[in-house]
Amino acid sequence: MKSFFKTFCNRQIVVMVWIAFLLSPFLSYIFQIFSLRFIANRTHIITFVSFLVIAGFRAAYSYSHKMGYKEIFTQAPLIFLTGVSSLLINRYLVSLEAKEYSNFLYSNWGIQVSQLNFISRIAGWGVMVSLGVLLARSDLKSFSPIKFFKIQEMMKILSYFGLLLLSYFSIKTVENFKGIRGWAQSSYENKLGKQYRLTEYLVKYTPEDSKIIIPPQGDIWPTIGNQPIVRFFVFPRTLISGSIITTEDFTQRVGEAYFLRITQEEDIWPEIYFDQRKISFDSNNLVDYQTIELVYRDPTVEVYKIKF
Amino acid sequence: MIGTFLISLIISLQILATKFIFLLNEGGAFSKFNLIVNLFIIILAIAFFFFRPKMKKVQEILPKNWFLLGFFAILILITISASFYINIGKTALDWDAVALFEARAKYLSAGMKISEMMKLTEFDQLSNKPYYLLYPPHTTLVHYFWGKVGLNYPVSVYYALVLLFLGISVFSASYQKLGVVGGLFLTLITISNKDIFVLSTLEYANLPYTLSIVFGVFLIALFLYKRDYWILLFGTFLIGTSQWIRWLEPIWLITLVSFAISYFAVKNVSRRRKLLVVLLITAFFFLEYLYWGNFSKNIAGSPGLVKINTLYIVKPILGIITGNLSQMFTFLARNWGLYLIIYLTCMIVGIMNFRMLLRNVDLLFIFMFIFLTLCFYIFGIYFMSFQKQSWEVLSGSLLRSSTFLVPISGYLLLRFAKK
Repeated sequence: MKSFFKTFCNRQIVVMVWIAFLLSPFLSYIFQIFSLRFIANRTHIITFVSFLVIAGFRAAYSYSHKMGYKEIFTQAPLIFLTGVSSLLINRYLVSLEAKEYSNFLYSNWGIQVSQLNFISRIAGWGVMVSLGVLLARSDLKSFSPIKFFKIQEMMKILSYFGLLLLSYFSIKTVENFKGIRGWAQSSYENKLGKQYRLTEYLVKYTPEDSKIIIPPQGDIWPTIGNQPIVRFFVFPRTLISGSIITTEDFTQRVGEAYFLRITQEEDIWPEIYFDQRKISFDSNNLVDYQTIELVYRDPTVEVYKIKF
Repeated sequence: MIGTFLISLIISLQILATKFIFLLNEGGAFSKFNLIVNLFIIILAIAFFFFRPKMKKVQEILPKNWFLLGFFAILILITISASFYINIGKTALDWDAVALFEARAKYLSAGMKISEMMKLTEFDQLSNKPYYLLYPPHTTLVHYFWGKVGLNYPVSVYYALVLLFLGISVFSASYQKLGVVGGLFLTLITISNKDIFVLSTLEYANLPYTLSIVFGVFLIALFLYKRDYWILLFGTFLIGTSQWIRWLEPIWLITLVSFAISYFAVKNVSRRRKLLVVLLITAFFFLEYLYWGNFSKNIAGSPGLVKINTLYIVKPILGIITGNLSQMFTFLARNWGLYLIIYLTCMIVGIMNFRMLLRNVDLLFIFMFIFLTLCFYIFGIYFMSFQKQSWEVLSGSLLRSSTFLVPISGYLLLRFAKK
């Protein structure tokens, strides 16, 4: 039994099983060639469990032979290097799948994306733990199970735990890099919503010294009703929020203005009663107008000039 | 130390330049006075640097682990290059940049003054009236300058530059105590942190603010360790002028209290000198506070975010009994998530190592800073929840501005891990 432990639970075996785990998608492919589908689908789980069991046995062996826990960490640089390489390769393969077509990896090389993601996650933790070990290597010389339970040592471990959590947010950046880049480099339509396009009609069909009435700010008109956003695009035109056009006194102050009537949305704004010459910009109050003139029309929007 | 000095000088001059543009744009005796005080502090810092007493040679901090050094350095370079790559390819600005920062720069370019921008909101909904004066103009003036210089790159590239400055600042102010590898590691986890990296792709005031606070706090901590006054002057300048970037959070006050507590714990400095230093810093911080505060209040009549009223104080205190505080903690845990665990870890580790804190005043300062910042966020959001219907949205935005805690807590944890 003792010789069994000595032979099969040595450090080199631990690292070899770790590498086998990282390469499990390729091992899985080999099993598929031999039609061993049951094992092929579970290669990553089998190798990971084997790694945990062998590493556990090795730790117990080191402890029982008074070598201290530090002995198990001597392979940290190798774990670190293989972990990083695996992460890079996995990310590249996953990006290939996203770039080409769904099931690209499986149909070409029999690699399952779910396996790659699982391995990446474990490899990420492996990298973080081994990195922590590498950073603390000088301290580990005096690392012993008895010291482990001393408060000061516990605090040191807690500090490393905090640093590991902080490092996790760096891995999140790598994981989400595509999304971060995609959003950052996307268009105004994507960032501000499709209502952004409406500002282009205002710029094109109204003079620079005109006044423009826009819908009240809120959930229905998040972009075209947002005065600071619209102002940026239509400046130097003067903006008037529809929500404050409630009285005849105010409309007399406005005199003449332009507005954009959105006809393709669920909520049509503003409500115009052409026969009564009345209009409501805030959905509650009707105000009189003298003339209304259509400046531009297409199937989705109409631009009007109004005189109160 | 020459590196630390140069990067402090570059960042400070950049802030000073925006104040100079503001003075040209707005005029005013108070602006002139503020600029002269700012300039005086920088000149004083330069003088203190060149005429500093000869220190006995500090032991060379040579890295022991070249593999890790190279590895971290490459990852840092990749991260910064990635930020430049994203920002150079940007075609559209983000929401707040369109609505405020770039918008004000556009109106400035059209010949408007910032004080005149209230006229733009004459026909806006009531809640939007003071909008253009809610934030100090630093970021806007950078956008304005960027446009004037006529660079071919989008203004977003400035934020990648800020990320680069943040990296250099964190390293230059931390490697003395953490060693080269430790300093590089802290730099890496700072600039590659998801929230900080995302901020470098947004044209918001958050990242320049993070840079000022982080570097300011690190410099003050470095002063408490080295006792070189030029370091304190630059640190004070950066924390004070952080109010020129964001005015909402009283992080300057937190820094002041943390510094006062730590500085009074220093043993071999006379009490009179300590008092004088703390009073001078207080005066400078208040001058900066009043600078934008007065301007926005007089021009815009900008309403304070949190109103002081007896009822507003009694309600939150009763809330502790009726359970509102627990609701707020749930919100905080949900929004901060893992960060809350990291900050609480800092608190636990700090309290358990209180003897080390008392021996190292620079660490005491960092610990107090994190502790008071946590208190500010917890109680600030709690009090706000009694005043604003939309407190969850506002609080979420407040929490996003807390990214400066990432490198500061990382520094504290590294110090305890390496002791």
